[in-house]
Amino acid sequence: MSFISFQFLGFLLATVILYYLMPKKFQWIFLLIVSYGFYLFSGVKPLIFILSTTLTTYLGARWMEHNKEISAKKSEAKQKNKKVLLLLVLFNFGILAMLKYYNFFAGQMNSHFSLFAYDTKLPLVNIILPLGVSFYTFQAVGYCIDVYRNKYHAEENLARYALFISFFPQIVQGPISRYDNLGKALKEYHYFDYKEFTFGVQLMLWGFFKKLVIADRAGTFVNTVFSDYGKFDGLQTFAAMALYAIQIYTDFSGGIDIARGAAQMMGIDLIENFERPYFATSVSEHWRRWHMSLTNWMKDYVFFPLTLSKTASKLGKWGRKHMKGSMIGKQLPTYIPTFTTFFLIGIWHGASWGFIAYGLYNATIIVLSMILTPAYKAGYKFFHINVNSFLWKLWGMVRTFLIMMVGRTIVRAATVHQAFAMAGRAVHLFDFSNLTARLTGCGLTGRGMLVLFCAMLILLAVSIFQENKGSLREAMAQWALPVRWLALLAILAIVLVFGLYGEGYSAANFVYRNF
Amino acid sequence: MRDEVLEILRGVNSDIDYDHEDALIDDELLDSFEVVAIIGDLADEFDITIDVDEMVPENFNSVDAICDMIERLKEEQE
Repeated sequence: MSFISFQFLGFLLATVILYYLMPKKFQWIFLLIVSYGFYLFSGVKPLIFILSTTLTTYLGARWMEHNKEISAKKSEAKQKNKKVLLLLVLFNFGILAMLKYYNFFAGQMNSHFSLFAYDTKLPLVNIILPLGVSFYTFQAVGYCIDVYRNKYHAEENLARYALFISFFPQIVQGPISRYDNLGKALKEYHYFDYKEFTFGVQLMLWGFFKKLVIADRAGTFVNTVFSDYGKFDGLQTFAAMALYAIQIYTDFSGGIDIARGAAQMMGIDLIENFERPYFATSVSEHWRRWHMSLTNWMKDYVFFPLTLSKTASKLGKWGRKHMKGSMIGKQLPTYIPTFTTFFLIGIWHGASWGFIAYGLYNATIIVLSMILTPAYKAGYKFFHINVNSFLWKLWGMVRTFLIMMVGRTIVRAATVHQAFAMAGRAVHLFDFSNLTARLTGCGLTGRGMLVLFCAMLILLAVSIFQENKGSLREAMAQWALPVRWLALLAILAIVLVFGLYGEGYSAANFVYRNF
Repeated sequence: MRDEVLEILRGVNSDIDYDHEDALIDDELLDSFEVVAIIGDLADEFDITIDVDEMVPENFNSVDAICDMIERLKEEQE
């Protein structure tokens, strides 16, 4: 069931009404039934996968808890639990790997076999990914690692844990929640709270605006140019690359707003997943603002364990000894973990050379910028550059946007070669002549381009407000009631009039739903 | 100990007023790469091992929190 459908809106409305009518004891049970009901809309077979992940991680975490209770020493329990954790990680990531990467692996092997004239062929399997598999698997494995690290105790109630994994607003495309946040919220009884409810509705409305008015409209332009890039000139190619960066942001963050809004209508706060990533002035800052629930997961469960491993510690010791006082020496143990983390972030999205290249592209830029930081600082001093000035920050934002734009082109293009060919065309064939006529020849009419431009201006204005003043919804709550309603009705009207709807008012699928 | 910790922190990022900050991680004043650099220096200076389990914001949010963690780890690892 797509978030952008009347079916979902009806489902959500009925759920919210019944949710608040439920007796205290049954509210969370009702939510569990509804969440599994929602999941069943994606088919019966995918249920096997989410159930097996739920059961194994629940039992594994309980087993670790039991080991802690019966072991005389902490170290003894840790030794035992390391094995349990390894089993859980292998089993659950094994399922994910089989579902997501087997065909890519088999395809690569087959092409190598044919290169050496072997007749052997690995069979390709027709696999439909279970809904939200990448999201719930990471959430479940994160929970197990936290229990292993004694961050909190394992949940005793299987049904409550099953709700944490399957909670319907977050199952489609995250955010990837942590048990100490979401688990606690799902345990509590929630009374109807007018403010929470209206804030939830407003957030959903904002998500629909981002998805239907901006993302899907930008997507029309992007699809036209990317599908036959040789036909388009530098300006059109550049615009398509820039619009894809906007499309993927508004598509994903719009979906997250809808998910967070739906949960907030029921008094449940899901963690933030975006913090205006295109205001970042460096690539590493961009990743601290983009898909935060995934990057924080990677930081806590991949990057830190690797940088603090014995091998990395030895490397760090060597670096500090032989490059005394230099930042490179101090940061030496982070270089390989950075590449590993971004490689994993790349392939988390799916199995393709484009995703692998995208991950390594980001890691290379981050490591290079770390190495060059002392040179940058010397340059700022020499040229008397005020790095805190507005203009310098603006330049940082533009530069970071362009770097990310090229990175995202690698993912969107059919091949890595196409991505670089497009980037080349965007530079070599760029000129501003006949701007309007050329931009309206890429799938969108003049009116369509104007709507897209105005909607992006609204998004920019709201983002600037949020960056400087905080929550717009809190500010709106202080406005006079008629003004507040006028603003909300205006956004609703924009979504209804200017949103792009397909046949039967079903919009294009969310890009991240496929991950 | 406090002075040595301050010196290490300033060696990694000198733009922060460590005497008055108590949300170094929560407010993202220090990034992950800087935290790793600080951990390396702390391990060398105080001869301790900082395990991944210690990587929680509460241990790195302020100079005092870092000092508390070092004292605790020294006791545990003696």
